[in-house]
Amino acid sequence: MEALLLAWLAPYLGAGLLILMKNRSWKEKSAVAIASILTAALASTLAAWKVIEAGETLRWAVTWVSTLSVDIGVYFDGLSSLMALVVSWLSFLIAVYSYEYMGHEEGQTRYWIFFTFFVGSMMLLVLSDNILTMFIGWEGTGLASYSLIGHWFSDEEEHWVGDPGRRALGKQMWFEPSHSGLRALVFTRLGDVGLLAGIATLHLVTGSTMFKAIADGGWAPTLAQDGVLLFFLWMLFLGAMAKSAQFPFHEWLVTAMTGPTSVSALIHAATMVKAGVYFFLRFAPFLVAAAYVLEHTVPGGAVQIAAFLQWMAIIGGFTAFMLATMALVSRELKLILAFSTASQLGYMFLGAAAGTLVEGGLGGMYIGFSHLASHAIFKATLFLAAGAVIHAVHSRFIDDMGGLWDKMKITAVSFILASLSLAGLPPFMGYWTKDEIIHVSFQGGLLLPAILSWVTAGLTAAYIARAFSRVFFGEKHWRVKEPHEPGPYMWAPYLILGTASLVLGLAWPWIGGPMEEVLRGSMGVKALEVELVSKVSAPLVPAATLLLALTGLLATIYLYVVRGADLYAYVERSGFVRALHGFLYDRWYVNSIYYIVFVDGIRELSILLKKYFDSLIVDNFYHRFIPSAVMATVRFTSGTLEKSWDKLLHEYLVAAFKKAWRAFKSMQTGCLSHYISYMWLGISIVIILLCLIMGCKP
Amino acid sequence: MIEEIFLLSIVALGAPLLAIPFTRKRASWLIAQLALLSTLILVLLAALYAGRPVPLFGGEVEVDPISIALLVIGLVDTLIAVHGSGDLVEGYPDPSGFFSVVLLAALGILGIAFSNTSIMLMTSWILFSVASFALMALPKDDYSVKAAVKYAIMGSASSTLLFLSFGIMLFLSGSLHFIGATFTSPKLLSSVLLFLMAAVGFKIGVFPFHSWLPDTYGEADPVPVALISSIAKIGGILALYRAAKILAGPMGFSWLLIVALFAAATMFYGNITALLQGEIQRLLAYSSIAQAGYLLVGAAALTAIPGVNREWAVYGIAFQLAAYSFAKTGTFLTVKAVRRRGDPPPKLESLAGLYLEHPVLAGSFAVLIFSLMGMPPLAGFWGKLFLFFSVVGAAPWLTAFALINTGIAAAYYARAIKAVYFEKKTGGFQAEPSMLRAVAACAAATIIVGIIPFFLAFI
Repeated sequence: MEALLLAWLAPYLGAGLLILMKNRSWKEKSAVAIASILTAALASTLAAWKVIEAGETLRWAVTWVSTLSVDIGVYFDGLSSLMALVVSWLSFLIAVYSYEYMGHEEGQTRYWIFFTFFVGSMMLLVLSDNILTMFIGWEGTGLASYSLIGHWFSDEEEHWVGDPGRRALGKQMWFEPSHSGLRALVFTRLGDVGLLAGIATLHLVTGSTMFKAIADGGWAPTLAQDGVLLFFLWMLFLGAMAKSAQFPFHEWLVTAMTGPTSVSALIHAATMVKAGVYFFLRFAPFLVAAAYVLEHTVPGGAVQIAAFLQWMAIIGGFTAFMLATMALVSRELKLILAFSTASQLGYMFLGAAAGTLVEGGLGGMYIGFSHLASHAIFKATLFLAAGAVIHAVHSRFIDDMGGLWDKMKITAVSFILASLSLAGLPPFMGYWTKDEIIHVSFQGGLLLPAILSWVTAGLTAAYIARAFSRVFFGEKHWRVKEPHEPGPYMWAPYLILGTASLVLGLAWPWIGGPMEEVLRGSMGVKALEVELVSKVSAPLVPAATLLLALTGLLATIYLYVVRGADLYAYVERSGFVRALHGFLYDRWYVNSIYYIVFVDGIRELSILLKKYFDSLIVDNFYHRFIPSAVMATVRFTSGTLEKSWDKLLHEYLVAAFKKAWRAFKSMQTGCLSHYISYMWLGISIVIILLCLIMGCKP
Repeated sequence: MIEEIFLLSIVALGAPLLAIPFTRKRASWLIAQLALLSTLILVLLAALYAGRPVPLFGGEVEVDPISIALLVIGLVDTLIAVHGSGDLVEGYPDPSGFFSVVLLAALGILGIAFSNTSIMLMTSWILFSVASFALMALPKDDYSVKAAVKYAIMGSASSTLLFLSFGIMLFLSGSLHFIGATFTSPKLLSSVLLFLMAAVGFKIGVFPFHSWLPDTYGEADPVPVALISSIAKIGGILALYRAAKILAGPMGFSWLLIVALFAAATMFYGNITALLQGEIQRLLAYSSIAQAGYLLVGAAALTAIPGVNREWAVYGIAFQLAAYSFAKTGTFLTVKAVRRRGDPPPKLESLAGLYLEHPVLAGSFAVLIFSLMGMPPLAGFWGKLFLFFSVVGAAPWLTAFALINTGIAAAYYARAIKAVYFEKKTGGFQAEPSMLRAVAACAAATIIVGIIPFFLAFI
């Protein structure tokens, strides 16, 4: 049992070992890193085998912090074993890819240290049996993500995201790696604050951070009675929304593409960004249990859970649609895939929320997880293949590609296989999983997200068809001499994954059911389910979805491959289309609005604060109040003098003003006497406040 | 036995003061480390006899486990800082003097930690304060002297408030002792706390008594700042903790409310002003103010009212003080790599490219900054977790506000990380070996303290 600890410990040990291997060769470092990840993959396979075989959960843990009742160890139930399998094997394949891909780059030790550190943290996150160690893994993945986004911190232009020089609403729309790392940190950190507040609340109510203490939903009535249930749920899920790049947090994921492509594939497509979805799936049965408890205790309580899930569905559907429209116009291959990732994450949120509403905890888990797994496989393929293409043509813009089919057949085949899965065509895996999400949204009567997700299915097929048409077919725009296929360490992983999305799709009718059975063994899933919304039948939806996707795909291919259309010229011709294109291309101006509101806003605020503080305290108190007090004294003592009071007042006031003006230019003048005054002033104010608040009479 | 240990530790810190004037710099450096190390051992030895509070010398002194824990953090940190300054004080006019003053300050902290009467606390406070003013001035460059004068005058002003606070306390209870005092009229206690807060708050940087701190920490030579920023906070919190023993009980909810308001104002002020700071020392100074705010969240929970978890507050204070002390000692010492004696305070960008030239130093610096940010599983994470959770039952708004503040703070800590790791090289670093060792030791201590609970699990 203890050996299963290696599922997350092995990559951490690998990271530790790699720190000491600074001067070793790339081969040795890679061997250590890949071996440590393989160990983790084997350990989780062994555990998953036992879980599937015996249908029970495996847990091994020791107490870490007894006062907080925090354990550390491994916990394999249905959900976590399947998730661990996906994460560890994908990490392994991408690590193999990195061996060739990163072999000639700078910062090799750094790359492997953070790569293995990431895998360890992700596995810890997945295999935690309490929310606090999950949070530790959560932050660890974030840390690795920021460093790897900023891997090329010397900020050469080839690693940027966006068009250099382009501005939207006056804000720059190109991002260097070091800037992007910072953005990711700040965006996800905001969500984490909410998550921590949620953890604090849960601990306050249940006295524990263990999932098993939360699973029965016993915390819900207390919160519902205090009227904070909805607020609490929003806080708790804020971290998940930020991590999984849901609107309004999606911006960080877009610019995260400054990292190495292998990192984009692993962290920003296949695994880390799924952490938020995983969190959602973990809590889906708990929410149903909470609704069940509420139904019997607090009138109108269960409705709040349903309302929250409906909001999640709306956010998911909206994110899916919004990011898909951006993917339609992007000129950078990786950026198209990044938009697509956020869009698909929206699908997963929608699927988890709608599934839970319609089918209960298990249904939400099944629908959300199957799309998670299918997306992890096809999106990793797309990114890895894109990495090979970008390497081959030395450009990240699809305008510099085209006609690569002749030169890179294996890459093209893998890319297209994964694209068809993303587009949701049968018999690929993506067809089954996406169809289920759209279907269940209609069944739940969630009109807005259902329609958005249905339209998005068409957009998805169109943008990915545009991507592969412009990369692999049509005229050749590349400027390098001879683009060529990469070596087997690179193409083998993505060929395997691309084929997997076809094979798993073919086998889906036979493996879908058993997978649901495995998930039934997850924590909190009960036979007893509460009906959150009534199910409506939506018989024609699958056919309509397929039709729309097919139309999108074929129309785009016809446009680009057969007609060889130049849409840029078309955009230039009409003012309206140009404006629309600009709106989409500049990401609905969300980025610019954030900079204007938050970055400039805070700057304004701090300037205002200073002004306000200065004018109110310094001007009024020191310049007016003190001089006039001085004047009163003067008036009293020089009562017999024959000077005009007015003149005296004037002279003294002006003199005092001038003196004080020189002395009190701002709060932080460096003048000691000011500071002492501040101190006394502060004390006096607080004394007065105290007397007012507490009626503290001497 | 414990009385002897206490006296011995005073001797261990005091006796070298006689020897240091007659030794050369290197020897005085070794003597100071030896003295601190032996005091540390003695204090740890005392811990064996003080499983619960033990009054000594007719109640003048009281040894209790929590004060011992905080004192140990202070001594370890001072030891690391003294070790690190070995090669850095070369250029000072009187390097040996530096070490004697450090020992005096440590003696002051020792007194504060165990004082059980207001007289004892006041004398130790003065000893510590005067030593730290002198320490700040010792580099004798323009910036340090200015900073020290500011610090000293503000310090004297705030110390009078401490006397005032104790004066009222004496008037109300009729006793100089902290333990066992009872109050005839609890009404005036708020003013006792207020004056105490002004005095202690001055030392640890509580808004609005903070104004000296950005100038002093921001401009003085970083070596004394590395020492004082840590031990001043430990001394201040120890004094507040001692006073809480007598005040927090009778004050009840108003203790929580007053301290919580100061906490909220302090962390908000510190974090907002730090956001736009361009100088590294000033950024760290404002971060010191913000961190003082976090500590006060725990201090607010030192009272015994329903919904407050006093045990967690104490854990949180200990973890947070450890995280803070090692982080500030380490980061201020790192600044020394880009600032020669007498230079103006360096910009944040001057650390750019540190990673390429000194990877260990840069790595340690990053660990310390992440600890300040509250990244798990470092010491700073557990500190904030315990501190913020300790008040959640009684003042959830404070927990929420503190969490939002850590979110804001991430932005400027990230800037510091960015400067070290993600910017082009400027070069021209001068990292002395003793400093490299000390900063690495701080980072190691931060990691070890962070995962100690993990080790405890196996015992």
